[in-house]
Amino acid sequence: MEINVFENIGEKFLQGLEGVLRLVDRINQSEDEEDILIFQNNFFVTPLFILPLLVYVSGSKKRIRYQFTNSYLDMIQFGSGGIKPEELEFSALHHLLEKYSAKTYIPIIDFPTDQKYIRERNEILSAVENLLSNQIRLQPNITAGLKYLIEESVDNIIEHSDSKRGYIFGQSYPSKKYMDICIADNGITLLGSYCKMEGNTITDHLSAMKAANFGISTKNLTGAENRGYGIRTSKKMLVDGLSGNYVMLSGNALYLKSKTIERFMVLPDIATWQGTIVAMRIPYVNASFYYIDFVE
Amino acid sequence: MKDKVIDITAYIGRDLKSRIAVRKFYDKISNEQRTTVKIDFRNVNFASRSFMDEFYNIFIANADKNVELINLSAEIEAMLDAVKSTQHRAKNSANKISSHHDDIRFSSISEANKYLEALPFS
Repeated sequence: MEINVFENIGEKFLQGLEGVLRLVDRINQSEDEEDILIFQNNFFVTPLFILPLLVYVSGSKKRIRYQFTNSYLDMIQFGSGGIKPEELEFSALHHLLEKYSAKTYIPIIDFPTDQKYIRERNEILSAVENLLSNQIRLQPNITAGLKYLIEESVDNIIEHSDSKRGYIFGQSYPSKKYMDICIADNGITLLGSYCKMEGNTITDHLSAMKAANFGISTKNLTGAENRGYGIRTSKKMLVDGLSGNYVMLSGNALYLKSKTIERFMVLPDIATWQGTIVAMRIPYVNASFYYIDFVE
Repeated sequence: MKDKVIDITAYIGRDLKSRIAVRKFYDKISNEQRTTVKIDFRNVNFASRSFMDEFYNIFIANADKNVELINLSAEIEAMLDAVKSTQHRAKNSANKISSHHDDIRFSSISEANKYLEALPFS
């Protein structure tokens, strides 16, 4: 079935996710084995639309293709699913990223999680963090916070998701003084990670979402390192420190956190993601912010 | 035997991130036939909490190696102190996670979107 995509995502952070949910609904209503998403030219989408859509499509049993002539989707490398840094020479990668230095967004980065690509992954992530920082001239204190937020989410993908790939995408809004960053994987979900834990008692996506956000690590090892602080400190830093917004989606569990709102939600079964997505709206002007204040 | 000084950034880069990078670093330098090693943080730009937590457990809490860290910035010191202080803290138990009557469950996507649209979430 051909599905025309007319989304025009506004300022509200969740509108990107609402747009993807509408698409998921239409995909599920189609009885065809293959659907084609036809993106209209005049639309604007956000990271919280793009990466959840990519992850949903990659985990879908249906064959879903894209069709678009939109230059923004081209520039962010949407059609190919993102830039794969290990497939490019270092100099070619940097030359490619140079094209974005005057933009307010980065391309989708599709990074490998395998340990043999540690160097490539670390280099591309550092390059992306620097690019985001330089595009809008972030102050050093915010750049350090940005690195922390990105690195903790990426490390969770590497350590827990069993996903071969991870994704990062970001867009800044200079007139609003915030940026949206989305980091995702198409791995085993939070629930899958807990199910691998010895003595696990968690059996559904909502409980796994709560456990992850209450600091229960799947790798709490007796007498050894103590984990479970990455998500907690990241949220504290983002929400309390920067007055930002935090969204996590895994399976069909959705979690939202802002200064005034915290919600755990269960989406209908047709809206189940084979992976985990973290999205952050990061206000980036805050002279008194110091990321170390939020590291427990 | 003179203590060897190892510039950590020569192995990992100036941004120290990911637990797996620590494990690979350990594998590389544990082949050295020395029990005492000085790790120089002079050129480090940034270190994530995950990295420092793994670093603490593999290098500092490890009785096999005598490790001295030199030229730590104030931020790296603070990060190390933070991970030290949370080692062996009482862990949250998964048994405390339970269903709550405030959990919100949607039977349809339109119901979910109606709720999300009305939420004052930026």
